[in-house]
Amino acid sequence: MISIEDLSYSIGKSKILDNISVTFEGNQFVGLLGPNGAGKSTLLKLMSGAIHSKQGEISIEQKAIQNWNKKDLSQKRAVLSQNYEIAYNYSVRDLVLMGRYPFFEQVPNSKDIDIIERVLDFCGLKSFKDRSIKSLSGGELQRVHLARVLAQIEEVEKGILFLDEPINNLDLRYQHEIMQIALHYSRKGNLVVAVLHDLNIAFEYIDCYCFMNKGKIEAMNSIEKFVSKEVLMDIYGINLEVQKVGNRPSIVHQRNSIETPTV
Amino acid sequence: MLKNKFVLFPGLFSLLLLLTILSVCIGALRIPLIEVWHFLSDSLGFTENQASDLHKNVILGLRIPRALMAILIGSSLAFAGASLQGLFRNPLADPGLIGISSGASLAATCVIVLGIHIGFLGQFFLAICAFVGAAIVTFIVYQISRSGGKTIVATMLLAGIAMAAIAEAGRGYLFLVSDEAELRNATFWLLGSLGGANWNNILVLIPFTILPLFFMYGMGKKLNAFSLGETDANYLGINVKVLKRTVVVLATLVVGASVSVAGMIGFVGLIVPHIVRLIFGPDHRSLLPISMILGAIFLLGADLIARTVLSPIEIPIGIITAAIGAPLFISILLNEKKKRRLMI
Repeated sequence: MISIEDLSYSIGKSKILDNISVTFEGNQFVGLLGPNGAGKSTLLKLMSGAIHSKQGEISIEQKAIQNWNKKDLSQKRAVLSQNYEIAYNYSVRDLVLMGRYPFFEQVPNSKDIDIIERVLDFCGLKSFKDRSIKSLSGGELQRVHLARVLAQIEEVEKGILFLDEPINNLDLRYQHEIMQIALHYSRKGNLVVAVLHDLNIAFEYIDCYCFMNKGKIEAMNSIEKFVSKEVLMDIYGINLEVQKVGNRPSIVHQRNSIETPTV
Repeated sequence: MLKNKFVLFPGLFSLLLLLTILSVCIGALRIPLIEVWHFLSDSLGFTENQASDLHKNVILGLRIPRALMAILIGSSLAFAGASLQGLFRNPLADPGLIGISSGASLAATCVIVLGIHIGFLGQFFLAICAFVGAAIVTFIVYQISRSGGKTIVATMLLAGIAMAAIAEAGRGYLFLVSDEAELRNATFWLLGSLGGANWNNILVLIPFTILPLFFMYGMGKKLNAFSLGETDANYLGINVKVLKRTVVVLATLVVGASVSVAGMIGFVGLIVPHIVRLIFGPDHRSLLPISMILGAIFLLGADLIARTVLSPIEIPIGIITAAIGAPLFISILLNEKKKRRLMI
């Protein structure tokens, strides 16, 4: 669905992405993993079309991303960004309706309304519809934004959903709810690519891991092919054990023992 | 918040009509309602009754242009405020507060000093120059207050103060060195006044102030998306560059034209959209048109107060709008402080 060839990206003299080639197919949930500054968010922004690179090529369904017009692209992929600061007091419904903006001119038609209701219901926001977004907790608000991006690509064939650190600063329940919603969306023939930091929660949901480090892809495979301890050492620079839980990997870290001085 | 916002349109229009009739009747010379009716039916040609010549002259030459001017300027300033607040993603972006009106008035003063503002074309030229001044200030303030795709509120307001100070200094100097009679009437520029209303001014205003009507459709949706941030508006298929240009050009055109005929009438662009947001919610699809109607109503009302409170002395209308607007501005500031959002 998305194919990337020889992609590099620099800001000034520092190289953020270094000659990346990778392909993401539909019907799966991909985790973009790796340490801070590895280039994950930049790769996500390039694939979303928010920024462009002069070196290399990104194609969505065999068509180079710069040849997609804004409207077609907005009817193909949706992006959940990291931070939203909204000055105005929209209602939950108003905000989710924004997801339908690529599809109607001034007044939403009955299909748009249907989709909004469905998505609100699916994200467990039915009773929140008329609440103002200023009255929501962080976890609730994140679900509202997820509902908004889902509304954008709900009816799209082979849609693409990009999530940039979607579960940061959320409590465990909301983290799992959001991952569950994303997983569910990917199962309808769509592609979900998420930048994630928590490896264990990532491994519980994703189908394919893509570890990045220093602007390169270090390891990429389906989740059944466990990532090795050595690769993790190489990427994170700390000692991590890979254990098997069910048929999925789980990461364990042993803290360093602190020598207590003898009195 | 009201569910169906558009049911109130007939109500708002009736209120606008009522205030218009009131402003035609009330003034230093009180005109009985029946005379207005006679004047109207006579002009439309279906009655024998005629208004007296004196009344006719006052209605046609003074009151109607004045009411029209209040309507055009009120709706323009409210539109400019609402759309700029969408663009800056902040409810404090008022054309007066961020120095746009000052830029317009400096440019207008330059034209007056050069003495090329006489007659209809001169007035038109004056409005264009005011627009250029307003646009330059908007561009600078926007550039200064943006950082990483966000508007820094404190910087925006400070940049506005700085730009206003520069413009005031320039204008103050021009006041001093010029012996143009119009410039002596400093209160006109500083506090704003509809006292100069005549048909020439109306004809200058109309082409500028009806422009928003053509672009408003569709702009509301885009400004809503814009409140998510530039990048995310882009993800929703909005052409952000075109939107920014459209808003800046439209808002500065109408502010420029307004300033060139009525000086700086402050706070309308702050108060009106704020009230509309409180009652009808922040959706720009309704915010823009409702603000325009309410802006017209607000300025007509303010002008009525300005003309009647100390009659026959006329209070500059800017005093009335500032007296209502400044406390409201402070209350918004306090509210923002409570939410700790001001200094982001």
